[in-house]
Amino acid sequence: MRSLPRPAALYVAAVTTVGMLLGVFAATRRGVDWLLVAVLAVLCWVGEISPARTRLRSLAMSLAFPVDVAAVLLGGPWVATLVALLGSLIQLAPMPWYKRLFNAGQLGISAGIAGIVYIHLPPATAAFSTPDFPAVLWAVALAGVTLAVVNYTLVAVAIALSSRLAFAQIWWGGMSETLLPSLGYGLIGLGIAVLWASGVGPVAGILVLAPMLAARWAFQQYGAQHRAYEATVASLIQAVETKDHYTRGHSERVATACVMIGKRLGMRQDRLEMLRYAGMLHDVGKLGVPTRLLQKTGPLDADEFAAITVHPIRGCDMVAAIEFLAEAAQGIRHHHERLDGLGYPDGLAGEAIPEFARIIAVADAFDSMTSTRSYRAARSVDAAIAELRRWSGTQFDPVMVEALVEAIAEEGWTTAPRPSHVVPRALVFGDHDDPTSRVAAAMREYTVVERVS
Amino acid sequence: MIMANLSPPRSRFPGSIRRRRAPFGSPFILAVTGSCAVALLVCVLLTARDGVSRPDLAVTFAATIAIGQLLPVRLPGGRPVVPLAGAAASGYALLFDVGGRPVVQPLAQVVAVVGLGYGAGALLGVVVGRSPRVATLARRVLAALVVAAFFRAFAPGELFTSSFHDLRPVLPAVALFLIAAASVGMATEALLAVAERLARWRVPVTSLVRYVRDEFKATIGVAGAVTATAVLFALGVPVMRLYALPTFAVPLLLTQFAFRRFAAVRTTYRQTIRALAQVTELNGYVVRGHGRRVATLAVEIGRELGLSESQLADLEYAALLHDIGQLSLAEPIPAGSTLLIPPAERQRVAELGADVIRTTGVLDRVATIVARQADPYRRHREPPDPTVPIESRIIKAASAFDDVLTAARGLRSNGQETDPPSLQPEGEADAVADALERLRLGMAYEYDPRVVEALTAVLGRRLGVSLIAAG
Repeated sequence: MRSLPRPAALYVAAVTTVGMLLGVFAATRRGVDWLLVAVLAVLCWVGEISPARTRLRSLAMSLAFPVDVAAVLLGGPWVATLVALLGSLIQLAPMPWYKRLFNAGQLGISAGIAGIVYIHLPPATAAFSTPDFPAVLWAVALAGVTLAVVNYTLVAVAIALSSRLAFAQIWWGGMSETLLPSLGYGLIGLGIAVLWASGVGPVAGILVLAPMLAARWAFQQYGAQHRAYEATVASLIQAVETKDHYTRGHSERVATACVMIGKRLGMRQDRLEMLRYAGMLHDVGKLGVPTRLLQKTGPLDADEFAAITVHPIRGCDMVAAIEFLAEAAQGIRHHHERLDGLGYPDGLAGEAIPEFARIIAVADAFDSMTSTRSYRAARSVDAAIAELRRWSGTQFDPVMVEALVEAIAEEGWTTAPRPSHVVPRALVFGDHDDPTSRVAAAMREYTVVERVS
Repeated sequence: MIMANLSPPRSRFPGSIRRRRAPFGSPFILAVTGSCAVALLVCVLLTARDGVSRPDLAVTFAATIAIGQLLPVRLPGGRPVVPLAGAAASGYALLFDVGGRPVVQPLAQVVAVVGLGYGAGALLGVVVGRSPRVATLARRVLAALVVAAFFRAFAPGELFTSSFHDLRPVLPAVALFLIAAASVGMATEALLAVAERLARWRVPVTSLVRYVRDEFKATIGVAGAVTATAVLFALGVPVMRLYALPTFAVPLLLTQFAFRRFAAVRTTYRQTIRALAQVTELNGYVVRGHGRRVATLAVEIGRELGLSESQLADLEYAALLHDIGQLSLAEPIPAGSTLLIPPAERQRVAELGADVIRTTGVLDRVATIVARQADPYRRHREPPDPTVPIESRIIKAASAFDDVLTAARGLRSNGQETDPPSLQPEGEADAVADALERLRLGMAYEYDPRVVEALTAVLGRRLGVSLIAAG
C-alpha cells in the first residue's frame, strides 16, 4: 500500500470502504438466499483456480464475470454484491492484501449497480422465474455491459492515479477490448441463471463452466508452447551464430532494433512479433555461405559474389516452410535490397521492397556498424547513425532510419559486447552487412555490372 | 537372435522379395463406414415414411451441425474434431422438452437429421476446398446414434411424458443422466478413432491400451466441453427454446478458438524445427534431406515398436535435430555421413548437439535422445545397455540406413552428390536390401536387433514387398 502514490491510496481506501459497507448492508437484509450466495461464490472460486496468463487481455477477464451476471439475474443487487465480494475475497491467486480488498470492494459495487439497473428493466422477474425470451436477452446484455463498464471504470481510475497515465486513454483502451467479450460472458451468466432457476442445481454451474475451463486449459497450453517456441528459436539461432564469434548476439540485437522501428511505425502486436522473428532469422541463410567468403581478404570473383548474393534466398527458402512467418520470409529474402534498386538478390527498388525488409536492412546495418568486426573496431552509436543517414534515401528507407534514430534517442541502445580476444587482422575484406565495408562497395558495383550486362 | 546374426547372412535379398497387397483400404474402416451408411439410409427412409416431427427443431439442429462441421479444430496428434457440431448432434439426441412440453424425437429421425447435417456441412466444406474423410464423418454419426439409443433405452419413463415443470424435483438427477449419455457417445467416438488408428497403421492390438490412453489424453478437454454443451442444449431448450443454442454455443466457440490457437502454435513449432534443422544441410555438413528422411523413418519405426504419442513427438524432433552438433565442428565431415568418422568423434557430435538442444530449456528429453544417439546398444561381453533410450537406438539405425542408402543411390546414379534421385523399383529394392544388410552386420553391438527388425517391416511396407529377415 505504501508503494502507491497518495491520491491512489486514498482512492483505493475509499472504494474498499464503500464496497465493504455495501456488503455488510447486503448481508443484513432479510430474505437473502444464502444457499445461492454460497454456491455462486464457490463457482467463482472454481473459476479462478489457476487463471490463464494470456497475452490476450480480453481473456484475462475472469471466469467470475459470468457468475456475477448470474447472481444479478437470480438474486438482484444485494445477492450480486455479496457473490462478487465473497467470490473475489476467497481467490487463490496471491496478491497484496489491499489489492484483494480493493478488487472485492469494486466488484461488489459494480455488481450492485448492475443489479439495480437490471431489476428496473421491464423483462426482469424475481429469481429469474418464467423468463420471457427473447425480451429478456437485451435486459441481460444491458446488465452485463453495466457490470463491465462500472468494473472497468473503477479499475481504470486506480491505474490512472497510480501510474499517472491519462485516464481516458486507459479507459478506452481497456473498454474497447472488453466490451464485446462482456456480452458473450453475459450470455454465459444467463445460461447459469436459466438452469439454476429451473432447478438443475449446482451441477448447472459446473456444466456452464466446463467449456470455459477447457478453453482456459488450452490457452495455458498455448502460452507454454509459445514460450517454448521462443526459447527454441533463440537457442537454435545462437547455435548458428557460434560459428563466428564476431556476430554473436547479432540476430537478437537486430530483432530488438527491428521491433523498436516497428513500434515507431505503429505496427500491431502480431506483426511486431513476426517482425521480431524476421529479425532473429534474417541471417539464417548465411550458413550456406562459406565463412572464408564472408571474411575474405582481397577481391571476390564472380562465383564468390554469387555465393554471397544467394544467402538471403537460402534464408527465405528455409523459413518459407513456416506458414506463420510468411511475411517474415519475404523480409528475409529482400533485406539486402537497396532503395535505389542496386541491392540483391532481386534488385527491387523503393516501395517494391517489402516493409519488413526495409526495416531489417536498417537494423542489420546499424548493429553491424556498432559491433566489433575482425577488420575494424566498433563505431559509436552516433557515428553509425551518421552513416545510416548518409545512405538514407539511396540504400535505406529514410522513414526507417529516422524511426530507429528516434527510438534510440528515447529508449537508448545497448551495443554488442566487445569480443574479449580479438586478433585484429588487417586487410580483411569486411562484413557484407556493413555498408561502409569494402565488400559492400564491391557488391554494389557487382550488382550494377550484372544488371547492365 | 544374436547368435543368428553373428553368422554371415545367408540370403541375398532380391531373391526373397515378394509382392504383397498394399495395407490400405483397411476392412475395419470399410466396415464402420458401410454400417454407418446403411444405418443412415434406413433412418432416412423410416423418417420419410413416418413424416418429420417438429421440423423447426430438425432444421435448426441440422444447420448448427452443418456450421459446426465447417469449424474444425485439430487436436494434438492430427485429430480433427468439430466441437460445435458434436455438441449439437448429441444435444439433439438428448432433447426431451421444448418450451415446457415433452418432445423426444424418434431415434430414426435423430440419426437422419444428424447424418444430413454432417453431410451438408461436409458438402459445403468441399465447396470451400476442405474435404473431410468419410470415415471421420461416419464415426461422428455413429456416436450420435449411440447417444440417442442410450438415452431412449435407459431414460426414466417420465422424461418422455411429463412436462418440464413437473420434472423440477428430479432435474439434478436428469442432468447427471444426460451427462452420462453424452459421455457414452464421446467414448464411442474416441474408441472408434483408436480402432481406426490401429487399423490404419497396422499396429499390433497389444498397443491398444497405450493408444486408448493417448486418445483420451489428447481429446479429454474438448470432449468435456462438448459433453457439457450437449447437456446444456438439452436442458436449456425447455426454458429458452431455440435461444439456448446461441447462448450455450458462445462458451464452446471460445473453447474452440483457444484450441485453434494452441493447434496453430504447435504447427508453427513443428514447422520451425523442421526448417531450422536444415541449417546443417544448408552449409554442406549433411546431405540434403537427410534430417527429414531420418525423422520420417524413425517415427515409422517408433510406431512399429509401439511408442506412445509423446515419445513419437520427441523422437521426431530428436531425429530432425540429430546432426545439429555438426554445426560446432570446424570442418564439415565428408558427405556429412557420421558413419565415416571414428566413434569418439561421433560421440562428440552427439554431445555437442545435445548441448545446443538443452539450451532451449524445454527440450530436455530430446537432448537426452540426441546425446545417446551414437552409443552402441551393447558393448563387448556385456548385456544390452538399458540406459540407451529406445529413441536413440532408432535414430542411430535410421540415420545409418539413410547414409548407406544415399551412398548406394549416389553410386548407382553415377556419383551425383546431392539429392540422389530414386532408382527404378527393382534397383531401389536392391539398394534398400543392401543397406539393410549393412545394418544387420552391425547388429551384434551397434544396432538393436528389435529396431532393425522394425525397420525391415517398415521398409517392406513402403516398397510393397516383404523383406524376409536374414537368419
